[in-house]
Amino acid sequence: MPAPLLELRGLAVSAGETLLFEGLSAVARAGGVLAIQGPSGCGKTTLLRAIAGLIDVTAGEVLLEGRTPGAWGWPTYRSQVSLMLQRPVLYPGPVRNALRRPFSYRATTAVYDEGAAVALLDRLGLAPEVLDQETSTLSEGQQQRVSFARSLLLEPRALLLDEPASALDAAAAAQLETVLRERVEQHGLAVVIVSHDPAQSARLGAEIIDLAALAQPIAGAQA
Amino acid sequence: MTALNGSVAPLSPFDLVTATGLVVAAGLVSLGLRLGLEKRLAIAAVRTVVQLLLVGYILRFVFDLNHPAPVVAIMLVMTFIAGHAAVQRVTRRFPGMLVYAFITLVLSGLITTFVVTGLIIRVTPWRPQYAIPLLGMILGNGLTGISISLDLALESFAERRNEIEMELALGATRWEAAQRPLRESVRRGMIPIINSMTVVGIVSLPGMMTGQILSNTDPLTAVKYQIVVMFMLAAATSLACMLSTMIVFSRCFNARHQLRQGFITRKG
Repeated sequence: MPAPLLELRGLAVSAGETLLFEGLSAVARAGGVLAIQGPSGCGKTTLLRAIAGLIDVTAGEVLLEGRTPGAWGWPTYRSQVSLMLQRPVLYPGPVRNALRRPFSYRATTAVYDEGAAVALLDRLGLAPEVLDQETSTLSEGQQQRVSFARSLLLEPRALLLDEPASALDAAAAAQLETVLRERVEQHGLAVVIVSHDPAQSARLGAEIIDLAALAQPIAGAQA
Repeated sequence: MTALNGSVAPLSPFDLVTATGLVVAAGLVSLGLRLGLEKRLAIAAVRTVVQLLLVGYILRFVFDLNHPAPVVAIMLVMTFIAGHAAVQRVTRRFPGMLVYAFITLVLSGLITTFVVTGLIIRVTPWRPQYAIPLLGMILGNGLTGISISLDLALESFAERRNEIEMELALGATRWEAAQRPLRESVRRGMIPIINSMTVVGIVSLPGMMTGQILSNTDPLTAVKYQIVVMFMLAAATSLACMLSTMIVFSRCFNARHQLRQGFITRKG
């Protein structure tokens, strides 16, 4: 069994002053998938944001190969543990520029490869012409796929996904899942995914984390 | 009454009474057209007289003291009032904003003023005849600049949180993630002064130049002063916009390259 890549140790996460859950411990190995489940409002998205370090955890720590994000340097850590937001955000301008932009960050080690981008978009059901299209003219489903492609092209070691197929029809969702499974099984990508679809989690061979079991009474009562 | 340069046709109290006739004319327009502005006009006219006389006496008093301390004190009060006015125009707030606006104007305003008085006009830097009016002009422009910059920077960080966090989530440093909105804030803050440099002398004669010409200064001397003033305003305003934007940046992000939550609030 591969060594732990991403480790969550006794995490407690809050939204503002409200403690959402505590005592979350889990390990994602290279090629492993963690699926976060729980009723809406229990803090699934907030958990992903906390793992990505966009917000602080209330207690506990997140480790990448045994080192804290602070030890890695936050931007370097985030380029390795990449969060894809549920509502994709793409910079105004052509899709090509939106895809390329993060490659200019100091922390990014991957190099933009247009051929790889075209091949990946094709597998997600998007024609090469989409590269020249304005991001503002894309449908939400197209934006979601472009955003997913961008995350993969950056070659992170762990990917945090928040309902990555929420705006996709069944066919496009299946294409996305195939690509994701391939990255997990063949390239050892570790994944933490929030998904409403237990069948999808099962197909990805995911270990299920039920946040409801860890939830604070007040957060559970809202559901 | 002493003039700085040349001689001025002195105004007697009687001349001022005649000038009052001009305001009364404006009042008659209001009455004739039933604009209902007579009362406000009267109050405004009285305020004009009282405020300007007060400033006149204070300035004369300070000029006669011939000591840097009261000059610097007045300059600091002016700067504080300008900082307060700038913050009033901004629709969002963050903790310590007034203090930061004040610091920004002190750094950009006082430094530029003393550079101009000390190095260009070559008088004692705090000589009030120069320092106070120059600072006044700098603050007037600087407060417009920083209120625009602050407004836009805070709006970007509050409203475009998703965009910024997307970049952070992909490995951007706080600087990489904030660069675009920050640039735009500085840019927008500098546009008014650049616009006024573009049309100066064509659309408008600047107040200072008009004043100098009225006091019998050679127009070319007045023009040279005005050129110095325009460049000084450009330097001070760009410095102020840059500083205030950088302060917003450094306060809104933390060392963990996070955009702080709940840091920016709405006014009131």
